[in-house]
Amino acid sequence: MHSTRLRKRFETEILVHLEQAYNLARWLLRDPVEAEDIVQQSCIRAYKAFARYRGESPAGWLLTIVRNTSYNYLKQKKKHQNLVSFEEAIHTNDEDSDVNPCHISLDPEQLIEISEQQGLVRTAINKLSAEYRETIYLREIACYSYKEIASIVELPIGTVMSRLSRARCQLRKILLNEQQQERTDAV
Amino acid sequence: MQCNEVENLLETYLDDEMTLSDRRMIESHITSCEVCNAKLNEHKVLQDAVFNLGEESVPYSLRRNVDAKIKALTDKEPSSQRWKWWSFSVAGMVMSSVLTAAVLILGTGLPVESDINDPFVDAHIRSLMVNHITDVTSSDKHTVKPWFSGKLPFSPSVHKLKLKQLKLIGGRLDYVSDKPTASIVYKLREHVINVFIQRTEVEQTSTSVRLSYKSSYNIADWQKDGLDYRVISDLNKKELEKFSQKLALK
Repeated sequence: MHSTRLRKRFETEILVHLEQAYNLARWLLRDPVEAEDIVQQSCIRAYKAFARYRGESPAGWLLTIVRNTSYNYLKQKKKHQNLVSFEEAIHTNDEDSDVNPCHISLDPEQLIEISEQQGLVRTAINKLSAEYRETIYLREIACYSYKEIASIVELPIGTVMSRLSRARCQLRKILLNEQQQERTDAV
Repeated sequence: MQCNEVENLLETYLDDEMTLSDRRMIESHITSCEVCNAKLNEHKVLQDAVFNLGEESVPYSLRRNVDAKIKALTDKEPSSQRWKWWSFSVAGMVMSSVLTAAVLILGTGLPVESDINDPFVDAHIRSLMVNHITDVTSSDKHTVKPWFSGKLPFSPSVHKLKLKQLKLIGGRLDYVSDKPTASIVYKLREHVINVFIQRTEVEQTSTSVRLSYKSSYNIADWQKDGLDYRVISDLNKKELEKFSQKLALK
């Protein structure tokens, strides 16, 4: 059992990051109800381990727990098609291949259209693999640095950088497809 | 630097993960190369489009469940502390009846301008007086937003609004009415606009922008996604309304 003092500390150091924890889970699970469940479980796990926690990045620590809990859940639910395909991608040496610069580019008109349609952007991100989704969320929305992301996802900075770059390239590809799809639907 | 080298570094440049000397090199290349400049812009627009999706606010049910679970895992408080809680709750009851009375009186048609000091107006004046307008000074929303991260129990969204002569100045951490508050600071011509954001505690039925006037300041307030917004400025009512409407739509 924990003391009231420890609980207060947990609230001010860890629970202030609840919003990011919830958003990361939402992007990973693509389901608001499941995200609530996973974040709740993660907070309990974090609280139980908090007395021993000595790290310097409470936000990152909570996000790592949320992330691990989410992946375990995805695996259990056999919802991990994306995960598998991503791991396969690694084995096919994708991690080393040079995708930078991205060869998919959008013209100014397409760019304006995309930036005005939040729904389109959201759908496109949700079509990425779980690893890409979390990298995009952590960098573009939560604005973490490469170093912080590396510590959250427990990977070297270089891997994070190439993953981010590939995620962005993939996102462009999907956005372009979505947009073309919409145009043909409209005709 | 060659175009292909620059192209490889554009993302790192935009992510602000580059040494100053490398930044300078990229910048000098971009000013003279239209192709790379267009590519940079492309990255930027897409990054902004994702950033603008923003964070979803935490559902009340999640917050309540987490609080309850964590309390259940905590030792019972000693009796002396229970006393404290008990006296707090009595004080709370007294306070709430005072508040109810105040609401009743205000509700009976007294003028909107009241003599009671508005803590937000005080915070606005304080920010101008002590020359402490911002804790983080930047016109870049990507700098202002992450600065708040971990300092507040919510993450305020920061928007650049398309209004003539409007500038984002930065952000500041405040404590207003004993609640942690994000203040996003804008300037329209020479008028400072403080946007105070707090977590909503009392849900209102209407979420539209309401205007009022206190101690010679124009005020606009509304609720959105579990947050209370309050805009204060000496800007004229019409422009403040336009600003607030735009921000509330974001």
